[in-house]
Amino acid sequence: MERLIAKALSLSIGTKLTLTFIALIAMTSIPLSFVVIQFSEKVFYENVVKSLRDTIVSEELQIRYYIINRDYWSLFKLVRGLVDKTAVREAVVVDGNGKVLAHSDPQRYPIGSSYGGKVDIDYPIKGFRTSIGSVKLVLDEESIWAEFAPVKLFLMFSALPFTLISLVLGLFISYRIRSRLFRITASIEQIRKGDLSNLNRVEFREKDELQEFADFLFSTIKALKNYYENIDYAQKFYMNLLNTINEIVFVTDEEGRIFYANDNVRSIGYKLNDLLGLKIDSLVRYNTKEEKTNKYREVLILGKHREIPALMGEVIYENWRIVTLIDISDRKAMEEELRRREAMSILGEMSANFAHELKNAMLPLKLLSSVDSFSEEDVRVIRNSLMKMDRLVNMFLNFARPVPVEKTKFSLTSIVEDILSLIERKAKEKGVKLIKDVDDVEVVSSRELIEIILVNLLSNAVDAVDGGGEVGVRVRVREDTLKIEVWDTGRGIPKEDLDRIFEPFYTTKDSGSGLGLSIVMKNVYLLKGSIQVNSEEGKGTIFKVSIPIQGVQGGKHTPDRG
Amino acid sequence: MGLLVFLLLITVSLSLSQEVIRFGFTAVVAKEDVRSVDLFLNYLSQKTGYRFVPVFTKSYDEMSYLLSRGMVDVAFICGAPYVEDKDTANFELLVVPLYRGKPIYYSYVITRKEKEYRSILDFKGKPYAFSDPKSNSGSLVPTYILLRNGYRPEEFFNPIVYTYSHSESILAVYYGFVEGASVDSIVFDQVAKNSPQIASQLKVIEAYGPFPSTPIVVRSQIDEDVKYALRKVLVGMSRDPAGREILSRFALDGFTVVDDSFYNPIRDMIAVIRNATLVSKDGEAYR
Repeated sequence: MERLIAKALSLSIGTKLTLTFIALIAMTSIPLSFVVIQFSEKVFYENVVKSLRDTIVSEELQIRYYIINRDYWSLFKLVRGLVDKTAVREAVVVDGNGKVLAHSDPQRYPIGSSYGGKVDIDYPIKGFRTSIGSVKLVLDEESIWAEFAPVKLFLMFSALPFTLISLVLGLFISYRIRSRLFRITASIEQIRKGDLSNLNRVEFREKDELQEFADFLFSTIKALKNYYENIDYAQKFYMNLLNTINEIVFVTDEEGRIFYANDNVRSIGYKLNDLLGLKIDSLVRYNTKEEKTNKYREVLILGKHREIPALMGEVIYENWRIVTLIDISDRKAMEEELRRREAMSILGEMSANFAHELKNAMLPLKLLSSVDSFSEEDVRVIRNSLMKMDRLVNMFLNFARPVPVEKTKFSLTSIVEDILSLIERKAKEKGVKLIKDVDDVEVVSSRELIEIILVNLLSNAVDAVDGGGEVGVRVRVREDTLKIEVWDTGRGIPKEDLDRIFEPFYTTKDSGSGLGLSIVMKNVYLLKGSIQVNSEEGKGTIFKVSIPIQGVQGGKHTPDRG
Repeated sequence: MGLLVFLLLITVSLSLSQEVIRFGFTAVVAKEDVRSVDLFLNYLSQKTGYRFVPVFTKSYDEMSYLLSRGMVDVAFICGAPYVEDKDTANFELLVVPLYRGKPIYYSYVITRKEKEYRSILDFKGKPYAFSDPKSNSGSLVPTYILLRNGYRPEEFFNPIVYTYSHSESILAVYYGFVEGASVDSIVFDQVAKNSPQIASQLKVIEAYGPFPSTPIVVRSQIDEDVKYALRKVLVGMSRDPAGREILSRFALDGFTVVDDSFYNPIRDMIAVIRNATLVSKDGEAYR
């Protein structure tokens, strides 16, 4: 039963409507027909009876006259006339004693016979006071109903055309509703497919609830369309904005899984689709030396085809992490270029100085070449010149020769001890005090280059001080940087010379080659470090060298292996 | 005003120039056949130049009364009322019809074919149809016969049904309302001829007679010229094709003139019935 109800409820609106119509018609018309038939039958019967009574009433005077005069024949003609009516089966006129005066079937009821039995109409004919007789009729109900039959048939089937009309009407309305609903869904279907431009108002001839519904849908979708367009515009705007900036922007979840990236990811050889769901950590290599607390830190992007140096920034927004990467390979290249140019300019300057020195050295040879015979002094001068030239060329070659940077692990204490032992004699001769302050740690770097830096700086410092002065060396390891400071209490460097002290072959000393500080600088660059000088005339000079190193081995608390 | 006077004059002159004769008919002939009556009267009008108007009555008594009062001039009645009323109502014989060439007819006793009655005396205690109480063949003759056999008809039959028309008496038998009836032989023959489907269900079991035919009588006071003209036309009808055609509609062969004594047989019967101290049925008939 419940399934049946559920099934009936699930029928299409049209079917339901049609069935309702039919049920309604059937429910109203069938009982109505029944009632009407019942009523009509009653009315029809009563009408028949009434018309027969009327017939008798209209003839009452005559009948009274016939009875009084015993005019049997006229009475007979009367009863015959009555039975000629289809509704009457028997008609009889009896006298006051109930004796037959005339019966429609005279053979059965001859004049004077007693008439009994049930009659349908008994119309008494009154005399002055008493009844002098009566007209009795037995009705032929069969023939009455036979006469009524067509009316009954008509009444019974009168509901049929209404049922048919309701059926047709129901079908029509249902078809109309269906087609209208289909039009609404079709218009929405198009929008569902994303074709928002084709949003058209569905208009029906019927301005009813369905039209209201369609209008409501239309206005709602239109509002949504505007909203969507706004969002779309905003999205495009921000997307374009994101794509116009130089940074690669990632948006990740709390665990670092990428769910958005701007177009700049193409620059590292990926598309967004390749990266979705990947962890941002798998895309970069962090520089372990850098502090994580920094807002920006230098990383290497593991691009598809190459590794790219970059600065990585990170912002937390609600549950998201917005990660930006700025490609700094250009900057790195520029720095490299700058360094190379610096080196080149050094080389150029060096060459100019070298050429000048060489020219100076060659001058005696040039002068002596016009002489026919050489004196011993001349030969010594030539020899000295040649020796000077040879030394110049060798030095130049040594300076220009690329030095392989071989990194080894060594103790800072030992290397400082080694260097100090080389210059200790020279310092003692001049009465200079050497002060040493060195972190007792092992570092990995180029021992050879650092030795050269220390030798040159310390010997220069000793040269710069007069007796009673001090020369100091301080070596510290701060995180990943080796800091070397060499100071003296010497004459100091005049301001005008400070800019040139690192130029090759520039010297203020009589015995110097002019290459010492150039070599220091070259080595510092080779170790990717930096050098700084502070000097004050008459007070002293301090050189500060910073060299990046990889890792610090040990410390003061570790056993000294130097 | 002048026009009114003119119309009045014309009307008066027309009514004067064409005397209206009222012709009475009773149940003697089939009064239902009004068409035949019309043709008959038109014929008379043509031949005599008088204008005829039909007057119908149900009974002979009514007709005698109308004749006595001068409201009917000429009438087709029966031999019995002629004998009984001619002096009191003041009318006289004009002509008598010829049936099968003779001015005579019979009183038939009829019943349904399947019934086993053989004589009028077999209908004791049965409903029986008389036509007019004053009819010769439909009342006088059976009364006379029963009286002669020692019966009073109103006691013999149960009851006597008066139909006031021979043809209706025939129908009463046909429908079985009465077991038998006494009817005019001319009417019966006419019904047999015109309605064989009715006659075929009936049979004649007795024929009394012959009796003098039902006469056409004329009011005594009417102008002798009129009597003469009418008698002449009626007697001459059988020699005229148009007249014969109309006569055939009444199943008659013509008309003839007879003497009053021709009706003596009926006078005799009436005398017998009166002598039998018959309680008058006239009262009933006159109501």
